Order: sequence, then C-alpha cells, then structure tokens
Amino acid sequence: MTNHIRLFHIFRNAFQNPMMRLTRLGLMVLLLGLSVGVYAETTGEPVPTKILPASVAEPGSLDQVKAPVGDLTMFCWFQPPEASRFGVADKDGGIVWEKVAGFRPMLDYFWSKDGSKIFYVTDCIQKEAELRAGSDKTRSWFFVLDAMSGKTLAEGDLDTDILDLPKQLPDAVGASHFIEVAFENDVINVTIEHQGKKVSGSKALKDLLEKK
Amino acid sequence: MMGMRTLRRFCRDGLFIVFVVLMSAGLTGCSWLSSLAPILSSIGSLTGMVGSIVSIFSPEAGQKISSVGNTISSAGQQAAQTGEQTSGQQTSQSPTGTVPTGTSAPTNTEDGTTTTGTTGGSTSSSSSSSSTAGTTSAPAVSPSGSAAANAQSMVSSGFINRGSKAFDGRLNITQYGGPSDRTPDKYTKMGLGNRNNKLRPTSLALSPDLIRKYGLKGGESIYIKTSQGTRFLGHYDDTTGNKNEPNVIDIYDKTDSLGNDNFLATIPKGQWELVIGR
Repeated sequence: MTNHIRLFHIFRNAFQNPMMRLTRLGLMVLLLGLSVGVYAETTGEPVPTKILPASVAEPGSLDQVKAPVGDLTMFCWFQPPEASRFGVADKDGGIVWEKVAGFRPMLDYFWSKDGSKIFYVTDCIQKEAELRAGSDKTRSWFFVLDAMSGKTLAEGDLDTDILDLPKQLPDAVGASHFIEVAFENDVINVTIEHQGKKVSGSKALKDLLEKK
Repeated sequence: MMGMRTLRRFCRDGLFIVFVVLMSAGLTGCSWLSSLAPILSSIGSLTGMVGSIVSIFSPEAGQKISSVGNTISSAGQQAAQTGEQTSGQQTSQSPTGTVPTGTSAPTNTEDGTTTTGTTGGSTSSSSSSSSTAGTTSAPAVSPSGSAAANAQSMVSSGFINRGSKAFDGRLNITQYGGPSDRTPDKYTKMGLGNRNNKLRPTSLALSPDLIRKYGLKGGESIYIKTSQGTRFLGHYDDTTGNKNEPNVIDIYDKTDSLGNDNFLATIPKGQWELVIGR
C-alpha cells in the first residue's frame, strides 16, 4: 500500500471516531453560519437605527435637550455599569451620533442659537472617553461640536482660552463653576459664578479654530 | 432516640449561650455590642450578595434572601448604636471628626434651594446659584476617621437622621462602592475617583450641583454644619454624576460597613450647610 493510501485510511478511521464526527459537524455548522452571514450582509436590510429608550431605570439617567431650531435633541445617557454617552438624536429618537462621555463625568451642554452646533463642557479625563479633557489642570474642558455629525470643531480650556481666569479670578482656575452660555453667530459668551463672584468671557469660533 | 437526644442537647446549649449573652450584656453595659456590628454587617452584606445571585434564577427567593441580609445589616447597625449609647462614649464629642460650634471656618451657605440648571438647554441658559459664598478655610480640628464611621457616628448621635431620598432641598447622604453597589462603574471598582485619584476611606462623591456651588477642585475636606455643630464627614474625591439628583453626598464604603447599599440619612431643607476645608 502506498503512503498516500495509508494516509487516507488513517483519516477515514479518524473521521469515523465519534469525537471527530462531532468536530466535522461543528465545522459544517460554522461554514453554514458564515454563509448566512455573508448573504445577509450583501443582500439583507440595513441594520436598524439605534433608538433612545423612552426612559432609563434608576440608578441610570437620560437627559434630553431639544434644539431651539430643528428636530434634533441632544442627550446624555448613563446606564451603569456602562460609561455615559453623549450624542444627538432625531425627532423619532433615532441616534444620529453618540460619543463615550466617561464614567460619572460632570457635564454641561448648550445648543447654539441656530441649533447647528453644541458647546459641551466636561471634567472627564478618563482615557476611555472620546469626549475627554486635554488637560487635568482644569475642571472645565470644552468642545464645540457639529450638531449633525458630532465632529469636533474646536476644543480647549474654558478657564484660560475663553475666560482668562488667571487674570480675572485666579482663585477660580481649575475649579468647578456654574456656567451660563450664549452661543450665537459663532461667538461663544460664557459667564461663570465662583463663590459668589461672576466672571465673563467671550470668544469667536474662528479664533478657537485658528488655535486648533 | 438518638435524634431526640441531639435536639435536646442543641436546645440546652442554645439556652446556655443566650444566658451567657444576657449575663454579659447586663454586667458590661452592652458596650461590647458595638463589636458585633462589623460581623453582622459583613454577614448581612454576604447574604445580600447571595440574594443577588439567587435572584438571577429565582427573583422571589433572591428578594427574600436579600431582605434577610438587610435585616441582619440593620441588626448590626442597631448593635453598634446600642453599644455606643450604653458605653457612654459620646462619639459626637470625640476630637476626631468634629469641629466645635462657632468655629470661624466657613462659609458657603447652603439653603437647599439650588437649581441644577447647569446643564443646558438653550442658547443662553442655566440659572445660576444665588448662594453667597465666602472664602473657605480649614476648621480648627484636623479631620480623620473613615467617612462611613463618621456618618455612622452622626446617625447614632442624632446629628443626621435616617430618612428617604428626595430632592426637595434636603441633604441626602448615601453610600457607594461596596459589594452591593447597584452602580458598580469601572472606575469605582478600580478604586479611582473623578480625577484618576485613588479613593480612600474618607472619600466622598458629591453631586454636580454641590461641586459647582462650592467651586471645588478635588480633595477638599467636607464638613456638615447644622444647629448642633460642625462635623467632619470626609473628602471630596468623586462625583455622583447624576445631575438630576441634587444635594447628594455619596460615602465611599468599600466594605458595605454602612449596610447593604441602603444607607440613607438626610438633613431637612434649610437645616444644613457644607463647610469646606482645604
């Protein structure tokens, strides 16, 4: 008997073994699954849009703020033990885009007057977060986000880049503040209150873009 | 026959143990009862965990087991309180964790009427706080002890009272970070606070409204001031994160020594202030 015939017999005997039969069956199922997957991917319906839940059970939370113009709503969705997610949903609650905002972050978010941009402030420095501070020296790192795409248009330190706190109120640098924002005609006006004292600052988006 | 004999022996031994317990309680004034507290609390927490696991398979049975765990934990706390009261040690007057009334410290007044308003909405938003804030200075007595022990002591001395959570201006003091925590986020599990800082026995998570109101940066000592005085609770090391729940102080309690994620003490609206130390 030649070598290759001997080899064939070894294989045949092996596959007659119940354990090998099971392996063969498993392989067939795997192949079938892959085939179905490829078929569905090429010809099937697109994956349905992720929808925001109507409410989130305690101790989670879902905060939604409707845009002053248009049908978009920005949301912050926290469902422990997952990290918070910040994003924008359409009028049906379909998520247009979302980004990881971190675990237990302190967030502030404001619409621009025309509803086209978002001014987002966070103290999150956790590396998993997509929206995280670029410095751990501040409690108020801001992002200017495009409302439709979520793209970051500008970012920076609220204390230094907009409020110039080192000059205006040095004690407040790096602290948490109450924030008021007016975002109109691509100009961001911010007022903070720190231990009873109010400080304001203003910056045009184009200046922030240049910095970026 | 054998079974009856064994049963009788058990009853006899049980009665003897009860007798010994009662005798020592009478002779020592129950002061040793407080030492039972951690044991009972641990057993309670363990039972609670078993309840949580069982509830995956059988919710009813799990709930019953959890409630038994709660009862045991409560018994532990009761034992601690009884022990403290009968031993005559007024922990509220202990030098650690207490600041004499009338200290010159402080400052940021809290009337409980804060609006969260910091999260935005519209183009110009956010009503800001009307609090009058002054400078913050460290109270005279240096803070120490664990935040959980300080809270326990406050409860047993009547400085704060057990109550239910509400957002009507009251101060809500809760616990987190233990085995029974219902929000076991990744960072807390790793023992990290909101600035990648390590959580410690005195760590507290404050709600965003309180953090902003007092302009906190991280690591400050937090004292509670009521008509009874000013007492140290712990350090600001973390955030509760939920802006919809204002006026919350969450005590980091890694071992559930305060109970089975059910510790809740409150101070009514208008009867509390926070004092911030360095």
